[in-house]
Amino acid sequence: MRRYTLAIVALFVLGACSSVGSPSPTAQPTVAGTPAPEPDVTITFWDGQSGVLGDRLNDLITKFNSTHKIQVQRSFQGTYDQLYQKVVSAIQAGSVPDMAQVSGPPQTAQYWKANALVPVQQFVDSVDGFNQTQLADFVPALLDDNSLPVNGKKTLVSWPFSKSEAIMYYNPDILAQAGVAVPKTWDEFKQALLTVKAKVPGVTPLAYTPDVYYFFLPYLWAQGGEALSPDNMKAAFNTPEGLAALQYQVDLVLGDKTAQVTQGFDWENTFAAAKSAFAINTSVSRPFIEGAMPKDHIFKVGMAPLPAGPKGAKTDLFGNNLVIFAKAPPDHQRAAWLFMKWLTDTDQTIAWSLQSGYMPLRKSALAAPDFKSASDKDDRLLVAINGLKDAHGIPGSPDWQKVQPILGDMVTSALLGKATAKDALAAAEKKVNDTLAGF
Amino acid sequence: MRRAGRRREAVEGYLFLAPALLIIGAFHVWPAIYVLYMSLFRWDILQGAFLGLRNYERLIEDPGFLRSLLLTAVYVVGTVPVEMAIGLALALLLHQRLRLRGLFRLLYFIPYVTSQVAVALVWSWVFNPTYGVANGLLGAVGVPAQRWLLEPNGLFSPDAPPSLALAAITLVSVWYYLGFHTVVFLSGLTAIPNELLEAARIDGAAGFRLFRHITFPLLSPTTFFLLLVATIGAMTSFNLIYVMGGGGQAFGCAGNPLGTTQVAALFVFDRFWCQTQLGYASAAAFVLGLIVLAVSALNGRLFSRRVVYAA
Repeated sequence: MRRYTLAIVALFVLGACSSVGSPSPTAQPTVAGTPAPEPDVTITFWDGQSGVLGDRLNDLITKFNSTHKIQVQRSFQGTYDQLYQKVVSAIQAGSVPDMAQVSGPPQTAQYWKANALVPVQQFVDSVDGFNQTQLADFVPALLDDNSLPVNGKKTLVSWPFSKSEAIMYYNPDILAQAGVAVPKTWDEFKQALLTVKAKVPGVTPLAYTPDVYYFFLPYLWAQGGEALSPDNMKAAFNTPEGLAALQYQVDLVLGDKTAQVTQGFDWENTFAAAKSAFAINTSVSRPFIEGAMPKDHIFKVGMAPLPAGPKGAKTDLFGNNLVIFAKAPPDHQRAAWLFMKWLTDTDQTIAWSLQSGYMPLRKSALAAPDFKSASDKDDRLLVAINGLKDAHGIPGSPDWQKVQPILGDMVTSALLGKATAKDALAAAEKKVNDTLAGF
Repeated sequence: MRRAGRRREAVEGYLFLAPALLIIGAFHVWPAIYVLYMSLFRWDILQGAFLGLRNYERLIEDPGFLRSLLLTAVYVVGTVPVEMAIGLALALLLHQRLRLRGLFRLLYFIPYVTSQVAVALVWSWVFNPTYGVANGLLGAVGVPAQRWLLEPNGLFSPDAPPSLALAAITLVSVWYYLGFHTVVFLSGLTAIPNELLEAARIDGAAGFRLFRHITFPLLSPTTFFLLLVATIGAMTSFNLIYVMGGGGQAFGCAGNPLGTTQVAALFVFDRFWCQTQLGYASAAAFVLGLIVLAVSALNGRLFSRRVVYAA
């Protein structure tokens, strides 16, 4: 009754405006070296891949279903926010799917804290998993992104799937017109915007929707700063590095007036219409930019890593991972793992990467003929992968969801001139510390 | 025999009421009770420690919640009287023997039968600072472009509500609900007995005096009904504000920019879904429910005695 009540309450709150099992090992026990037969079960998979990406995911699932006893029933849940809300409701109601996509480490940490997940590590270590050599084929930064400390040991809690990172986009024609090279440092980037402004009339040097991920955090990290303390319990951004990171944006928007603040995805239309020289967004934005280009003015979208600071180039690791729920029956959990494993095989990760723009997850994919021939023809496929060495994960704090809007408001108030960068940082620091201290 | 008949009648009555009671009980009363229960705990994804009334104590000290109540009041004052006044004026106009009267009624009612989310998305485009029609029109008359839904600065003073963003949403809300008010007022006007109007005219009443002393008092049941429904609706308003106020964008979750469109219902949503503070959000939802009840009761107390029925 309580479960239904919670579900109704969640519905009630959504419309107007029980604990779950512990993550104890529940995988199908198998004799070492002898995988058990594939279970003959249908598993449910909740995801948030819309449009073309959803179609491509359907193709992969159809391929899997036609070659396996396990049948995967995909259930699209809407945007990533909606997917999260539905998973939270499902955990409350004790009626979770077998597996789901999850938007990065903070949400994974939340589900984990709620004892809702079974750690993927136990399947990786099982006879259905990988030996050390096989596991080493996965890009280490991606495995780190899916790991949390459990009993003092780094443990894979989720599994990588559709991964991307923040990169810089540029219009080569406008840069050539302005006589500007692709900037490699944040100082060069600032100068490049000024040159475009001076030399190419009618073009906005940079159009962007202010966001904590595309400027503040990478710039902060590139200066050697951090958003939160190592234990994720305190704000760590009110420092000279943090001030530099926030002031940099303020200078572009209010000082140099080289950056135009846009709404939502409007930056994409402005860039696609060749009305802006630069954009900063995730590495999967390219197909969307190309799709928004006027047919009579197609240009080759330039892609480059984010500019570097004194501590090198830093970028945020975005995208989604996969989790298996603790409430799922053991044979469903194992089936979910086998599907996840198949989905990230070299063949599948190449297919998914080429079709979606997400990064391939394995080192072997880079040398595989299909990917090699594609990247030889178009080296932009390698920009995000080469940037992985500089990737910095979003803090894996279950409270990041509460911290992110505070940082967002900090950036907005500084960019609108409602507070100086220094005051905005101090106000945000207090709010973040209050939030993390709980009550 | 007579008593048995009465009992049977009562049983039948309850049976007829049962489906409605069941639905209201399951989807309104029981969740409300459970919201109260949740509000007494620390509740993230899972139920945590019992906090007693600490969530409520925290609400009283939370500037975000207090601001959301102020914004709700501003939104109610900005929408309800305006919708009602313009709705009444249009209803009086459409009550005349006009040509194409039916067509006008239809046109005014169309927004109300359109999906709120669709309406909100279209108006978001109108107010888009880069591509929107609103800035195009302002530009045509030499007025500088505005940030509209991205503007947290106040309409009258930089730090006082409503922000331009909330003012723009208020305008859309008035446009959306105008047709509903017009149609309900029209039905109220139709219900006024003609003999009373005739008698007043014979006594020399006409124009504004006729409206002031006969039409408006006899419309009072309709006015009271609309006041009550519109006030409750505006106090719990969500969809338009959520979509137009930047819900789902990278910054925060609901009620941008800088929380200047975060009315009480959005505050609840933000704390429940975006910050996963289920217990705290439940306390806010419960307080909001109590305020709506209190305002409705106050409405009834102030206005129900002034309601005049024709019959």
